[in-house]
Amino acid sequence: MMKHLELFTFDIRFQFRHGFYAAYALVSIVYICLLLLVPASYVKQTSILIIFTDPSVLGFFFVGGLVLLEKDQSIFNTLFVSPIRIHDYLISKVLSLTILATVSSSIIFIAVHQLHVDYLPFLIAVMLCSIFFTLLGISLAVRVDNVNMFLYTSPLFIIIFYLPLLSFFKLTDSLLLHLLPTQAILILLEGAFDSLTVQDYIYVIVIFIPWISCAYVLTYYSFQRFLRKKIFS
Amino acid sequence: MIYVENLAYRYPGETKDTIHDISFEVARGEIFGFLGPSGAGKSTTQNILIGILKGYRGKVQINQQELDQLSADYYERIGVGFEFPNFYQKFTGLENLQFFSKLYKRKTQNPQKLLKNVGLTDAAHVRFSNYSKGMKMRLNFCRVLLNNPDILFLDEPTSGLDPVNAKKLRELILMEKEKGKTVIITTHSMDTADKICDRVAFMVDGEIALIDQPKQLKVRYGEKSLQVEYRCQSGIKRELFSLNNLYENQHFQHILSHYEIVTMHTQEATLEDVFMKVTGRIL
Ligand SMILES: Nc1ncnc2c1ncn2[C@@H]1O[C@H](COP(=O)(O)OP(=O)(O)O)[C@@H](O)[C@H]1O
Ligand SMILES: [Mg+2]
Repeated sequence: MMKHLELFTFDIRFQFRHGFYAAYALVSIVYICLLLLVPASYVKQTSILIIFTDPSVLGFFFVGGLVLLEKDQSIFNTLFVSPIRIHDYLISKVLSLTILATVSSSIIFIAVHQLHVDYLPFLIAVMLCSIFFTLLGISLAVRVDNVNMFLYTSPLFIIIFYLPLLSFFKLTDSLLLHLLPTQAILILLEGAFDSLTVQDYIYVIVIFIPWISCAYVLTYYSFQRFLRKKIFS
Repeated sequence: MIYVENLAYRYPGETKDTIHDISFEVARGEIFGFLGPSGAGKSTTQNILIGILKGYRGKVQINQQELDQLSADYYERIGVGFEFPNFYQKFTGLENLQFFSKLYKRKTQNPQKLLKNVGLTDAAHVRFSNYSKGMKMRLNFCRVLLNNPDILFLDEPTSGLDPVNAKKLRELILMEKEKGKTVIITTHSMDTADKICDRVAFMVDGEIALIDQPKQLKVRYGEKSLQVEYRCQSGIKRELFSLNNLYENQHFQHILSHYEIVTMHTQEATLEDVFMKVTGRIL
C-alpha cells in the first residue's frame, strides 16, 4: 500500500513537471468557455459530448505520452529492478490519471451547471471511462516505438468505442451498441440530466465489469511482454 | 551465496546460444568479476542473475533458492547498477534517490549521505538531465546502495569515469565488501578487475575460459622481466631480460660492465597480458 502511494504521488509530480496539468487546465478552460457560449438548448448535448471525450481521449493520449516519456528516459529497467510489480505500476498510472480526469471534469461541470445536475452518475461515468481508456492507452503505448506511431495507430484502437455516438446523434439505434462500455458511459452522463433507474445502474455494472477486467488483463500482459521483449533484452 | 551450474542462455528469436554452459560459484563477502571484451556475454550473464532475462537453462541458485522461483522480494535484497544509468530527467539527483528509496520495504540508507560519499553533495539539487556521464554513474551507485543490499550487481561500474573518480568508486566498492556484501562486477577494464576483484572469470564468446585470483594469474602466466635502458654510441637503447637466472645472463652482464645505465625497471605481467595468453583475445 505504501508503495502504491509513493508511486502515485510521484506519478502526479511527474505529470506536473512535464506540463500535463497545465495542458489539462488549458483544455478545461477552453471547454468551459465553449459551454458558456453555446445556445442554451445545446448545452446539455455539448456537455455530455465533452465529458465523454475528455477523460477518454485525454486519459488515453496522456497515458500514452507518459509511458513513452518514461521509455524515452529509459526509466523502466531501473524501475523494475526495484521491488515494484507491474500491478503497482498500472494501478498508479490509472489512479493518477483518473483523479486528474475527475477533478477537471467536475470543475467543468460545476462551472457550467453548478448544482443543477446529478453528480453521482456523472462521477461514476468519468471514473469508469478514465480507468478504461487509461488501460487501453497503456496497452497501445507499449506496442509502439514513438509518439507519432501512437498517434497514427490510436484511431484504429479506439474508434470502435466511439460508435455509441451514432446512437447519441440518433443516427442508428442498434442494440449491439449496448454491448460497448462507452454506451454505458453515455447513459450515465444523460442520467446526470434526467434520471436513472436501478436497471440502468445494473446494466452499467454488468457491462463494465467484464470490459475493465479484460482491459486490465490485456494491459498487464502487454506490459509484461514489453518489459521482456523491449526493455530487458 | 551464488551457485551457477551449466548455465546456458539464448535470446528469444536467436538461433544460437549467447551463453554456453558456464559454471561458477561466488562466496558471501567476495568481489567476483567478469572480465572480457565487449560482446563476450558479461551483461547477459548478469541480467540472468538479477532475474530479468527469463528462460535460462541450467542451475542458478541464490542462497540455495532457484532463481526462477524467487519473487519480486528478491529485489529487496539486491542492488543492480546497469551500464547506462537512467533516472527521471526532470527530477534532481536527490529527488530521484528519495523516490527510489521509498519503493523498498526494508530500511533504506539516507540519500544525502550516499550522495556525500560519492562527492555529489553539490549536485544533489541539480536536475538529472544536467548530469555528466561521470555524475550519472556515481548517482547510479548511490541508488544501488539505497536498500543496503546483500548482493551488488554492477555492470561496468567504472566505465566513463575519470581516473580519480574510478579510484574513488573502487574504494567505495571495497567498503561494501568490508561490510560483508557480495559484489558481482562485469568489466572490460583490467584495471578494475585487477585492483578490487578477489577472483575474476575470463569470459570470451559466452564461455568462461578460467576463474582465479588476479594475483595468482599474474604469477602463473606472467613472466617477470627487467627493462634496461643504456647509453651507447648510437643513442639510448632499450632491452628486456627475463628475471630467470638473470645472474648468469652474459649479455646482461656485458651491458652492466660496458655501458652507462639510464634506467632499470622490473616489469610484471598485467592481467591484460594474461588474458591474451589464455584466451588469445585482447580486452
Ligand atoms: N537483446 C539481445 N538479443 C540478441 N542478442 C543480444 C541481445 N543483447 C545482447 N546480445 C548479444 O549477446 C552477446 C553478448 O552481449 P553482452 O552480454 O551485452 O556482452 P558484454 O556485456 O560482455 O559486452 C553479443 O553478441 C550481443 O550482440
Ligand atoms: Mg556489457
